[in-house]
Amino acid sequence: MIEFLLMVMENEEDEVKFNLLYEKYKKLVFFVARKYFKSEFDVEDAAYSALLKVALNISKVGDIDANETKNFIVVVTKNVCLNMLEKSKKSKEVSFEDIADMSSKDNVQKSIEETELFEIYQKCLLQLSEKQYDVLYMKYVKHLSVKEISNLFSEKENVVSQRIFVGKQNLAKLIREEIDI
Amino acid sequence: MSTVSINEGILEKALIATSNRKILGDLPEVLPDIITSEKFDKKIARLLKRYDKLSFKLTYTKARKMVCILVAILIIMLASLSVGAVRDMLSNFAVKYFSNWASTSYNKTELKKNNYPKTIENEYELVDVPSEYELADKSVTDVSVDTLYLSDSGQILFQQYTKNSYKLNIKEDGTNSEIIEKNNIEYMIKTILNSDNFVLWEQDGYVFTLAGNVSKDKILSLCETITVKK
Repeated sequence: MIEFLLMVMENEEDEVKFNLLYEKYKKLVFFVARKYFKSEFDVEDAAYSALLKVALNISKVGDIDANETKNFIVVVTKNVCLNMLEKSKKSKEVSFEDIADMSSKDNVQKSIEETELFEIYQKCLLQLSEKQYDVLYMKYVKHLSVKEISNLFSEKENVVSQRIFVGKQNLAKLIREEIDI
Repeated sequence: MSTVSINEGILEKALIATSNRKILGDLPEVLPDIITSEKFDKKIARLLKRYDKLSFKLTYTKARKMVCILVAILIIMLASLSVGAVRDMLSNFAVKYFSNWASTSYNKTELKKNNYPKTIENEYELVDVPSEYELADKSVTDVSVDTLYLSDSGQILFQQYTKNSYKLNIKEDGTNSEIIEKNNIEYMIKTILNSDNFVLWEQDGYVFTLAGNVSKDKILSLCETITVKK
């Protein structure tokens, strides 16, 4: 795995970036991992797996000091931990909320001012499950493809696609409730 | 059942706006220290095995960038020097005048007559660099040596040129530079960027420049300390 990683990180700038990133965020990775595991062995295992994931996707990391990078590290670490927990339970089932009916769309929100809509989006996003929020963050903020997200989160592509779809559905549902259609 | 469609532009902005609360949540400002096992240290060391080398390269890259920035600043700032002041100070200096610019370089005939070194035969170094400054970069060519020292608060750039290679473009306006003579050497000093000082002088057949955010007295005393590197 490491050999593969080093092959991937052929670009010296990426290697430097990863090294700096490790120094800056190692405590954060461990802090997040400790939220999911009690055993130090599991914490280290998760931390190392998360760091490998980050290293493999180092080209997606922009400014090391940016909040976006910090978020990226946390999301990756969190998802690595969740995956490890799911694997340990031998349960790969992903719980999704019911898929809302998207058959009839309207443009009701057009009548709402964009700033108001922005506030509503924020409020509703905070109500999404972590998994749904994370895939949406990776897709719409980090602009990763489904394949890239699936590699990052160690999930099948169809699971990621479904999660994005359901996440958006749930968001739409919450927004609809919020604007009281 | 009616639904709303998701506006992806607003979604992106809202995700960014909520990410700190949703992702970082109750993250403390100061994270606890970590104690890792020997096994983890070994694994991570393998991952970071080229750290030292890369870290040096990064310093080098940053320093290179700093040299380029400093040189660019110097070129801009020196553009307001007086041609007369430079010509009076630097021997055998030829000046070509354009509209309000002057291109200056050493007179080639004079250079041949005086047999100045055509390459850096003796490299000079600063002896008394303030302790807070560390050597960050050094660039050596046949005709020049650039040495950059960095501290937390600033930089010192020391340059040595052969007379053949030294050229200076000057814009003929204003003279806020002064010439100070010490031990039979004339130093032209100019304050740049409000706090940095730049010094230009000739010595032993070479041209030297020293620039940095140190006081005028300190920079002049540094100029006096240069010696041939052994």
